[in-house]
Amino acid sequence: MNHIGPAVYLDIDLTIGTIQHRELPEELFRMYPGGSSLATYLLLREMPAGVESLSPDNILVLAVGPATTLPISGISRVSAAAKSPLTGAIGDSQAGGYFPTQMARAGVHALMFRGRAPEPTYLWLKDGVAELRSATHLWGKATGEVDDLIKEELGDSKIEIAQCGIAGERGVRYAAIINMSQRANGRTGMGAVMGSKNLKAVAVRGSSGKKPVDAETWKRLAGSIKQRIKDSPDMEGLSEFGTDGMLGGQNDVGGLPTRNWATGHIEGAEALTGQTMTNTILIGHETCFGCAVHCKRVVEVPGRVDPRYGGPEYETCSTFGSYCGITDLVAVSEASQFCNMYGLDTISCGATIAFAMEANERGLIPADLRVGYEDLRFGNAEAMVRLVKDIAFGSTPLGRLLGEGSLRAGTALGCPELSISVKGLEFPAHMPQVKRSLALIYAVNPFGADHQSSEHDPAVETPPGNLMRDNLEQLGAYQTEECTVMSVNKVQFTYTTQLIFSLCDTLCLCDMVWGPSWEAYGPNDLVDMVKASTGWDVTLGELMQIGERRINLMKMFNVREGFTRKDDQLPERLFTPLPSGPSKGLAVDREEQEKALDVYYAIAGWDQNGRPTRWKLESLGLGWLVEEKSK
Amino acid sequence: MNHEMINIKIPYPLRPLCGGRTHVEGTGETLGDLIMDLSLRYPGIDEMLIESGELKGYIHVFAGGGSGQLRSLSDSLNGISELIIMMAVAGG
Repeated sequence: MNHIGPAVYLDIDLTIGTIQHRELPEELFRMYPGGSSLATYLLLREMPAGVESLSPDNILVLAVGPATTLPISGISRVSAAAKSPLTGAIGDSQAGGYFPTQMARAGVHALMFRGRAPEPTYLWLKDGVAELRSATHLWGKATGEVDDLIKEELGDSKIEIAQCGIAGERGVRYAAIINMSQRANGRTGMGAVMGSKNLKAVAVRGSSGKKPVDAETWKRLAGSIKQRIKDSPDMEGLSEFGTDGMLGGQNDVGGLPTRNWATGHIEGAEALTGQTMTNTILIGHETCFGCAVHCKRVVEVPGRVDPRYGGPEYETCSTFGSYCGITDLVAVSEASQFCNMYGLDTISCGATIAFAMEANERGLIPADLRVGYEDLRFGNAEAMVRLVKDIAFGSTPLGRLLGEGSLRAGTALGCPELSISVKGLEFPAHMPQVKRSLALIYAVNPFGADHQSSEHDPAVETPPGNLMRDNLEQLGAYQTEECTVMSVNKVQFTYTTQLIFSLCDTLCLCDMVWGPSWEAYGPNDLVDMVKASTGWDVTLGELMQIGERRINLMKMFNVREGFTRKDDQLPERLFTPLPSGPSKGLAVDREEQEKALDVYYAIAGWDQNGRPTRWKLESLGLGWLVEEKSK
Repeated sequence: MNHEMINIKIPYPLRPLCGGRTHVEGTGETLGDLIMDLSLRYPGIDEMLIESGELKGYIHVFAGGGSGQLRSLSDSLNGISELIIMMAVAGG
C-alpha cells in the first residue's frame, strides 16, 4: 500500500525575509502527524524556554492534518500554536473553513514563522511557491476589507486568507487569527503573536487535490454521513440550529454561565437560543470544505450586522449574552461581528467584559479608568457592544486594560478572584458544577480551560445500549454515572476521551464530527479514516497514543516554562454553591477536586506536581524531552 | 396495553418539581401519556420535557436494561418497567 510520505513545512524567518522548504521524515510524521502535535514538536525543537511571547523570539506555527484536502465531513481544520501571550503557557487553537484545505492543497503541512518583519508583511503561498509581500496598505484595516484587497491584488477570488486583525496588530492578548472573515483560531491569543511579527496575513491557494490511499474505504465513510446525521438527534440538531441550539437546554439544567458565573440560569434565555436565531435573523448556513453538517450560522440585521461576518456560536451567545446578563440577540450578533471584523476571541472578550461589569458594579474600577463606562453593568447591551470595539482599538483606558485579559485586569484592579479562568484563559460556557468532569479538564488542560478537550459527562450518564454509549465503549468500559458526580471512573472517562480529542486536534478533525461519543463518527471510524488516508496500518491504541503524545508535548512546553500543579487550580467561585436556578446548591467539592487531580496525574503517568515522568516520556518516544524536564 | 407502574429516574434539574425525589412512579400507554400522568402530580414537569408537541431536543428518555431510547411521545411503553430521563447537553 502507498504511504503518505514525509511532512512538508516552510521555515519562514520574517526578520531577514527567508523561506526554506523543510521535511520531517515519515517515521516522525507518523508520531506527530499534524495540527498542534506537529506544531508543538517544532516549537520545542526550535524555540528555547522563556522567550517573551510578543517578541520576535516566539515562533508561530500553523499546521493542518495529514488528510486535510480529502473530501469528508469535519476534516478542514488548521491549528495555530505558539507561546501564549495570555497565559504564558503553550497556546493552541483550531479553526475550520476553506483556508485549511487551500493551505494543504498548496503543498504544505505546516508554516513556521520566526522573527519579526521590518514592516507589515503577508505571506503568499501558491502550489508550493511562497513569497513575502508588503502589507503596509493592509495594516489597520478590517478583516473583510483585507480579504477583498488581497484577492484583488493577486487576481484570484478563490484565495483563502488567515489574518491577525486590528486587535492582533495592537497586541490584545486574546486576539484571534481570522479566516474567511468569520472563522477563528480564537483561543490563547495567537492573533497577537501574529501581529507582533508584523505578519498581517497568510494567503494560500493550491491546485493539488490529494487522493486517499484506500479509495473504497474512504468512499464508504464519506457516503455514510447523511445516515449518521439522521441516526443522531444531536447531529441533526447541530445542522438545524447550529451550536447555539443547546443554549435553551443549558439554561434549563442550570448550566448556562450567567452574570460572570454567579448563577447558571438567566430569565429570558429563549431570546438567545439557536431556535430563536433561526426564526429571526438567520439568513443562511455556512459550512467548512467537504462537510455535510452545515453548522455555521449566517445572520443579518440591516444597518447593524453584516452577513459576511457570519453569525454567533453557542459560546458567543453565552459570553456576550448570559455572562453579561444580556438577552438581546442582535447586540450579541453585533459583538460577534466586531470580533470577526477586528480579530478577537469571542469567549475571552465576552468573559472579560462580564468580569468588568461585576468589578464596576462592586465599585472596583477607579473613575479615571471607567470614563465613558460609568454605566457598565450587567444587562447593558449598548455598553457591551461599544466596549468590544474599544478593546480592539484600545481607544479608551478601560478598553486597553481589558485587552490584557480578565486575570491581568483583575490583578491590576485588586480583584483577581473575579476572573473566571485557569492559567489566565477565560472559561468557556460549560459549567463544571453541572458537568463535573469539566472541573478536572479545565484544570489540567495544558493551554487552559477548554470545553473541546474531552467528552462531556452526558456520554457516561447515558445507559448502555445506545449510540452515544456504544461509541464511548469502544474506548473501554465505564460505569454509568450522573453528570454531577466525580469519581475514579469519571477521571478515567475524562482522560481517555481527552486522548481522542487530542488526536482530533492532531489530525485536524472537527471534534463535533469525529469525537468519541455523540458525534457522527466513532473511534473505530477514526482508525479506518487514518488508514485510508495515510496508508499507515494504525490501531486504535496507536491513535490514542498519538493523542497522548500531543498532551505530553504541550505539558512539557509548560514544564519548561515553570508551570506546576499550582497552575492546575480552579477559581474560588466554583467551590461556592450556586445560589439559584435549577442548579441551586451545586458546587465543585474542593477535596474531591484535589483527589481527582491526584488520580488524573497517576493515570497520565505524571508525578504529583503534574510533571510527566521519565518513563512516560520514554514510552511515548519523547525521551528527548527528559533533559528539558531536569532543567 | 400497559397499566403497570413504571419506575422513572429523574434528572437533577427536575427533582425540585418532584419534591426532591430521584425516582418517581408513573403509568401510561405511551410516553406522552406517562408525562401527562406525571404532570398531574408534579405540575410543570411536562413543560420542562415537551415543546411544540415533541420532546425537547436535549431530553433523552431511555428504557431500562439497555433496551433502547424512546424518541417520540407516541412511543409505546408496553413491557417497560423502568425509564431514565436525561437532560443531556454535550459539548460545542
